[in-house]
Amino acid sequence: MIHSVTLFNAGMVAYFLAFLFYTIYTFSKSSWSSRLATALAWLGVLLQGAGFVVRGIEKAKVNMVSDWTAFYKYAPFTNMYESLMLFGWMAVLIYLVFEWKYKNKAFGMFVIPLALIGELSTQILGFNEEAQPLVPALQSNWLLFHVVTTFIGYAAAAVSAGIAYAYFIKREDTTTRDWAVIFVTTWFIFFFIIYSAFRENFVIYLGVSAVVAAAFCGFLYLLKRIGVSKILPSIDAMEQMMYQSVAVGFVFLTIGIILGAVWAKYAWGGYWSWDPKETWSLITWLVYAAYLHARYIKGLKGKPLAYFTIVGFLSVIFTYYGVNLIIPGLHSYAQ
Amino acid sequence: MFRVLYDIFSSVKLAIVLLLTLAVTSIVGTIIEQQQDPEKYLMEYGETTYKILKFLGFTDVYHSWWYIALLTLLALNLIVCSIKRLPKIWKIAMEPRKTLPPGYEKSLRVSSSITLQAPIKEVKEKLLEALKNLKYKVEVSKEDESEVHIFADKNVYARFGVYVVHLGVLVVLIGGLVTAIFGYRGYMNLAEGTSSNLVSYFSGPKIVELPFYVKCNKFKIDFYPSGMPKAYISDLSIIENGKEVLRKKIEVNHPLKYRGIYFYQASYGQGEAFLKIVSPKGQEVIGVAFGQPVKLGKDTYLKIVSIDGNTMTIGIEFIQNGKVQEGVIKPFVLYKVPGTDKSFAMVDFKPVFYTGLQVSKDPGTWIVWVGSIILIGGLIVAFFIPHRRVWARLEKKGDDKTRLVIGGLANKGTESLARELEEVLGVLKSSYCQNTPKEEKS
Repeated sequence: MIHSVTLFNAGMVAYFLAFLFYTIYTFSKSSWSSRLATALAWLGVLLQGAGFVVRGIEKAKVNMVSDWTAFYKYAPFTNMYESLMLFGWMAVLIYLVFEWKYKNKAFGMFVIPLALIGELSTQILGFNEEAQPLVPALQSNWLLFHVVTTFIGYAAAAVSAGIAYAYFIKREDTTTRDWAVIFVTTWFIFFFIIYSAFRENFVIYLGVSAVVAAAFCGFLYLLKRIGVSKILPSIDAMEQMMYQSVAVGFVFLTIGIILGAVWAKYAWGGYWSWDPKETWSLITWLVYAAYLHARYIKGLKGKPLAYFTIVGFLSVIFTYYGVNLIIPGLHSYAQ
Repeated sequence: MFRVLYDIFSSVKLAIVLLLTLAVTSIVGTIIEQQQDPEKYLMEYGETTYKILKFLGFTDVYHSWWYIALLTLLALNLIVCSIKRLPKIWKIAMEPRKTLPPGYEKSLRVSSSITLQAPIKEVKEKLLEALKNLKYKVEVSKEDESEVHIFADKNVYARFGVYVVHLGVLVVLIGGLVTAIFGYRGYMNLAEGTSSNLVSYFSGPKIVELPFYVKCNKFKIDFYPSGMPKAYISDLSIIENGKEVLRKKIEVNHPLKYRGIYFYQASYGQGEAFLKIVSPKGQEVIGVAFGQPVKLGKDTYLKIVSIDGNTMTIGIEFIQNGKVQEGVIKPFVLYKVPGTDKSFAMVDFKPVFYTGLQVSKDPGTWIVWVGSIILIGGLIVAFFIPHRRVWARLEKKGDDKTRLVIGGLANKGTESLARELEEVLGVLKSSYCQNTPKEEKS
């Protein structure tokens, strides 16, 4: 049978080609490249979707379960490699849903590479790609539902952050101070991701992530200079989309946390244990709750809204990476 | 005074401040390890820092007075905010203006007008039907010879989604409170063949006596070929009044429940001590797993916690009236138990495995589940279901000619509302516009 890693890799190739054609479309407006880009992105989603099913069967096998229908129980989201694949897959899927709903393909160029970087980072950061057996605490029917809902939440947060970055490209009045703030938040994001993988040489990786963040900001600035803002939707529309993806993220994060609580009731003996990961998911939830209220009283518009979106995503990144690897707790399965 | 408080607590700004303060202060508890022994903190932080941390409640953030105060303020804020806004929303939702006087269409987010080749009555019927087909609740709000006003809306309940969410959060908080007051979490260590009714709290020296005994019949660990553990399995019996009333094999993720108390497979360890207990009535020898208390008298318990094979010393914890004393004893030496007429000695030791059970009683759980369901339902309604309202005015422009002005508002997703209105107009146009329609868009 075809190996799941092959399918995941094939999906990444499809994403990369999709990214190329989204970029061609952005600058040439040719309709065939836009259609090809969407088709390739869907192809990637299908390939990786199949990859997850195959992975589930492989995991059931390592767990010495021969019944293939049990694959969902051995849902392949239990180590860093698998969860990053899921993250990238979800982000592309949510993007495609947005693309279909808003009939706008301007964000493909931003979201697809974010997903691809996430998935490729498994190679760079050296996460083990082998299917591993499950420790007893993870052998639960709740695993699939808890992880999938949580990751829809994470991916929606990533999409909202992608839109927030594009928003600064769109705005005419993005100042040097804005760029500085974007740089610092992005620096934190990359630092959590990179440092959590190595957990040593703090200063070196602080430097490395600063370079990566600077390159990222430079790329955004370049896009702004070559006039990408023309093809982006209006400022109002982007604010609306940012809010909507946060709303989707918030709902799924809530469901994910609650399903986690149900699972914890059976596995850890109580619905809430103030485990660092639980606490950080609560922190993220509180940040987004504050965001939604701030938007409600209409004080939050324009740049502060975009900043808040990025801070929310920063909190998601810490919940996802930082806690997993920096603070030990009940949740650290993904070492 | 009351007025001032009411104003403060009804502000959404306070909610934002509280939410963010909770978020920031929660971080503390993930950086400093919580609820550890004082010795551990002293070793890590030193005496002065530990005293400061302890004073600020940073060693147990989530149970500190100020964290609970923040949660209480949030709950109050939630209640007062909802009480203040509910009547307003009720009015918007349930008692809207139902007519569309000339000029009012300009205040609507979506509006358009069209002149149709049909009598006013016919257009009215067709419009009502088209709106009904889109699941609108329709109402003719004003009708006379020359003018007809129509009001239609759907999903009016969506306006209250936010309050449902707030209610859900409150119920979850109440559940948490019930847990904190009436619930407990502790552990029991049982060697194969032994039974006990004593549960030690995770936090503090408190010991609970269950009204029944739990017996471990068998404990085993399954391994993967790689040597990684696959499953921990304990075969347990519940013994009440000397009779076995329930028997179940438990594993991680599959606890045993009896009388509202859950027994979870949590850990395992090695070591069973045999204690000889001598009282004026006689003597007995009992086996007990390391870490599991033995009752020696009222509020008097003994735990064997470790054994040092080289020096032949045994580490014990002696718990009396809620106070713990740690110490060491020698094997075979009879020790008098203070405050009782009993003595004890450790007479044997076997390096067998014991199962570590987590025991918890939590009457708040089901309240939290109810709150969670309310919360999720409310969120879905609040974020994904739009309340849409449509107003229309039909003006008679002759026996066979009618001008239609139609417009609407949605609390979210204005584009979708616009699409619905286009659909309605499309139906009317295809029926009554053989000629090129004269259409004014605004």
